[in-house]
Amino acid sequence: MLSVERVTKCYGNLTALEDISLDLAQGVYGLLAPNGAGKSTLMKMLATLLFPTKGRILWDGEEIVAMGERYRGLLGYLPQDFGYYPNSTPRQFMRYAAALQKIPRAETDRRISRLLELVGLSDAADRKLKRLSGGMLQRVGIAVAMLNDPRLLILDEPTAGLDPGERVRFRNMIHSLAEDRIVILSTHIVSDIETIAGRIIMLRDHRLLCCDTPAQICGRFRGKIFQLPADAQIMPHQHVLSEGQGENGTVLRVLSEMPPEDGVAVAPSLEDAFLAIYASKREGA
Amino acid sequence: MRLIACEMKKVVYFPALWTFLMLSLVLNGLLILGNDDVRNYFDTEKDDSGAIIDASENVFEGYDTGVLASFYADIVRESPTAAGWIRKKYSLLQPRAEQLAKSGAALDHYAGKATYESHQLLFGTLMRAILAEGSICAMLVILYLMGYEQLNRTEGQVCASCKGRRLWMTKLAAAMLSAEALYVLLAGMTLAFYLGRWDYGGIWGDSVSSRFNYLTDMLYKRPFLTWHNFTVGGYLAASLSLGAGLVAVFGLLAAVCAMLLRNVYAAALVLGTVLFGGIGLGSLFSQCRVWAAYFVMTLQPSAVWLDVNVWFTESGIAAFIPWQETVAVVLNLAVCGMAVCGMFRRFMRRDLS
Repeated sequence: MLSVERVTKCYGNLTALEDISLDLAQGVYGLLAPNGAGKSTLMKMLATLLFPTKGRILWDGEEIVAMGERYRGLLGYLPQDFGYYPNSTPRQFMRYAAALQKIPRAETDRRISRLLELVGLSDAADRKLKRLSGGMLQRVGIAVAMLNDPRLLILDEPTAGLDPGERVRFRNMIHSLAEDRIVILSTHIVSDIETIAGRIIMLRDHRLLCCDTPAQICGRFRGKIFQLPADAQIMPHQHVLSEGQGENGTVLRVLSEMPPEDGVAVAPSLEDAFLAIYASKREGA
Repeated sequence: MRLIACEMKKVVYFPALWTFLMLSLVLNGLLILGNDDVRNYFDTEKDDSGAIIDASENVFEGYDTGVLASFYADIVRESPTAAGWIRKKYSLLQPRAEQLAKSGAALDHYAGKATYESHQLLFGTLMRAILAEGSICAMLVILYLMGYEQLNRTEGQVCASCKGRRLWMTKLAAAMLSAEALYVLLAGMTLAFYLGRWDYGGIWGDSVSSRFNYLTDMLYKRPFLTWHNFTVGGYLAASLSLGAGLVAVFGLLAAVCAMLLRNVYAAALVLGTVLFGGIGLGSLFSQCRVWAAYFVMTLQPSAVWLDVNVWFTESGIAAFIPWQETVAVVLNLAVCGMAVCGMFRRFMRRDLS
């Protein structure tokens, strides 16, 4: 189990994260927040690339910095900006990553072949990385992060650069991987985690807003999301969350405490909740 | 071992390094060919008039190092401390002169009439070039490997792996091994070419303190007084060995800059400034006659490199203690080694952006 206990991270006078406390057990956790909210800072602290200014992070009750190699040995990490050696092939790059993970040489090639097959890159295993598309590189990154069969998998915006088909494939893959491990997936794209995350962690004003199931988060807005025709009058207490195409033309999805005239109550989606939470922040600002 | 091999493989695929190595070998070849005229009278026993050179004079017999002490003490007279160091050094040299006189080192033929020129070519020009090239290779390799993950944006993944930040110690080990291997390659190929053209067959066992060999410092000519009885072969081996140490010093210095600044280009800039600035500062101190500060500057690695042609000798104004070049290399290794350890400890707890 991973515990984040009252963690604060400051860069000089700037507080990137303040007083974050979390307990994470098996399953997929979606870290959802707008850009600049501190997602990557939290992910990097979990990957021991950054150190908390205050507070501590524990794995099964032991501080992760003190655990050192033992902690990193059970960690898989895909950074937001996946780096690679352009002149290496995926197989060569993964062999180097396997050496870094101290995976026995005899086992290395078998694991690499299995993971390349899992991410659908068997055919590109011996092509130079600089010749691969963004989506293929991202899949190499996922395979690298999975090399040591981690108990904690940290994926920082892993779907960036993937096309819709690859996104679905990726979601399915993460879902299947999460059965016996903790997967933390940061994104600002709601659809990436809506269907696979057991819990959603949301940050606001550099603080933890919630760590709830998607249903609980959506439940907060039940009876407050309405669909209106595009030409409807929007009152000051109503917030337009999004615009879309309905059966009879363009429609608006609106957050309102009171049912608007001509408004049809709709079930709140995670995207509605996300937009509503951060819209009220913008309003507050 | 697996990771050291991986890191060394990165060095092998570093094209700029091999280009530099090729250019260095070409330069060394040109230096050898450019001094070909000395080869015409190398190891000859006759002077210009054709008479056999008299090699029976033992120049160390009755040699008084107090003359040298007075000469240099007068130069550094503004600093009583520096003058004291100089007098102490030459008083320690007196027994060495007597030993050399007793051993008859001066009676050895060495390269006869061509001794001074050939000695300066091999131990001055060529060794200085080999050391400069080896040190530049060492610094290039260190900066390249230390900055490799940053340049490829793989630092985060590497630091979050099981090996983690300790990989940088492996990188340092791999870079130092590669640097020393490159130095051996440079020295080996250059010396093979040199020795292929010059016949040292009967010379290796002769003393470098032969009466045909001498030193000139501040226009003052004196016998080749060494702190140990060196044969030509022994002197070459000692120079090459100390050279390997000096290459390691330059490598460690590059590692300190790389780990301190965490930016390859800035590290290269600072390294160049420190090395060239150090030489300039040494000259400035001597011009301003701030001798105590000048003597401290003679311990810096670039000063040790510059004085390669007087290594293991009394070295004149370039040294204020016996075996200064050896002491300086050991001291620099210790200081840079400690600095690298300090930088590494800092890196282990440093935030990575």
